[in-house]
Amino acid sequence: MTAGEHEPETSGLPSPDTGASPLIPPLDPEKLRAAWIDFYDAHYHRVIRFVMHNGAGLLDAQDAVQEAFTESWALMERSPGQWMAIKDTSGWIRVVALRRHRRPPGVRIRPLLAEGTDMPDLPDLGPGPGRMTVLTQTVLQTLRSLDEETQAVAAFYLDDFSTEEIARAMNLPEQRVRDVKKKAWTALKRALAGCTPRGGRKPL
Amino acid sequence: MNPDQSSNPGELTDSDLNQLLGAANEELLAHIKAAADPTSTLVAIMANTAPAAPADDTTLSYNPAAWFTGGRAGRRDGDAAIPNLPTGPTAIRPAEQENYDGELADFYRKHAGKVLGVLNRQKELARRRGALHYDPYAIEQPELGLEALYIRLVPGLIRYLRQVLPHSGVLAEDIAQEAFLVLVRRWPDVRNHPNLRAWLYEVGRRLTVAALQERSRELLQEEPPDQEGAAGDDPSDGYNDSATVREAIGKLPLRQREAVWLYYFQGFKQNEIATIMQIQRGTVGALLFQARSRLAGLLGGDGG
Repeated sequence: MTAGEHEPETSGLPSPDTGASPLIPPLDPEKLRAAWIDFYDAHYHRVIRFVMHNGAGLLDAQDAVQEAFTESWALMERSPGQWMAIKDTSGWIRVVALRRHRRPPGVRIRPLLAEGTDMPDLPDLGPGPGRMTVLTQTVLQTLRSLDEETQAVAAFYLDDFSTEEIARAMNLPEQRVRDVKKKAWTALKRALAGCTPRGGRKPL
Repeated sequence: MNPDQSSNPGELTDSDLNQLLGAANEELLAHIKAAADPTSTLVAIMANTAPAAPADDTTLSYNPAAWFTGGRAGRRDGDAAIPNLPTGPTAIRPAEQENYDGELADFYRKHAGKVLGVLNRQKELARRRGALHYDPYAIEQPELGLEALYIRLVPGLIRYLRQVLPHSGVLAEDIAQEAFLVLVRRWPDVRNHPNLRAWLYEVGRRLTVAALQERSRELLQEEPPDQEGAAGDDPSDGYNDSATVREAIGKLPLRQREAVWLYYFQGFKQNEIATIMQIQRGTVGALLFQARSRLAGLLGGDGG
């Protein structure tokens, strides 16, 4: 993972405990919208990746992330005070997107399968999955083989969240986060043994 | 234990694993960026959750925030990205709403990314200046205001000029662009104009007259009649159920045709038309009366 990739707070939204910037009057709708666009720009693609690390295909991840950002936009529009009260918007948007992804589709929109039809394919990695190297596909497949909690913790770590931030976002004890991370890293080490950073495998 | 040491000689060290995960992370992000368009998603999000347009939007001082968020409240269908029409003196008549919506939606889809690009440029400039924040919606930022004004005003101006120049849709577009350039050059003077739309139409009309005086003969002779083609490109197609009405309007004298178009199709008031055409308000009424009478004769109605 890239050091410093997770930019702590690029949304520019002042949190209640840090105090508002003197140049940004609190609850000014236009300033809030501008800050929200910054927030969206900074996180949109990364949250998609986060959801994909949790087992989603690209299209499902896009849908979940769109829903999450829609919720954040609606929250900011209707209750700017609540939006500003969110201390860690980066973690918040990921948790919301993950919930959207894992939410059961419901009876009405659940696709019906007639007898004899094939089962749906595994999550689509998006256009041209073959272009992704073996390394990336192996990481995604390995994460999919893990349980949901481990997937989420690993995905947070892959987005450069600290243990403390993950524990706060997932409402878990820090020790539990460390334990789960260890499990995930062990699985990844096993799966990636022999891989090179360029995406191939080391010759046997 | 040293984190870089592993118990099994064949197993990856933590450092190796981090390197591999970093490479995979970067690749996946690039893959997502190549496939996912954030602009269209942003537009959909903001339009889907937008409040109703403010009722006191009575000027044309353009506010992209209102533009982005001016969709109809509660609409959740695929067309929700169509922004609402302005209210107040520049409001479009209901009969034209549907037509205007379609046109605006086309421009919206075409230019939304452009406006967002301007937002980003403004943001970057503000950061370079060392500002702690930026205000992308401030009218003081002429680039953004003009970009948005262009999107809102020029399509209608082109339609109007096409009525004045029925055989030269290309020239109408050129003149509309030229008129907008005049606005750009004079932006500091006209930014607070009470009716910028009428001002721009007036400029467009003057430029048209000048163009006709100086080079219309040559240009119009060179340009093949493209009325059908121009009408096909015009989003106002379909506004009139009958092509007969359009044809009849086309038969009116130029000044009557202009007045009819501005009044019935562009939603201007008579005093605004008087400003645009540089005539008395009473003359506008007379022109409209004469046009209605002539149209009644052409269409077989009673002129009411």
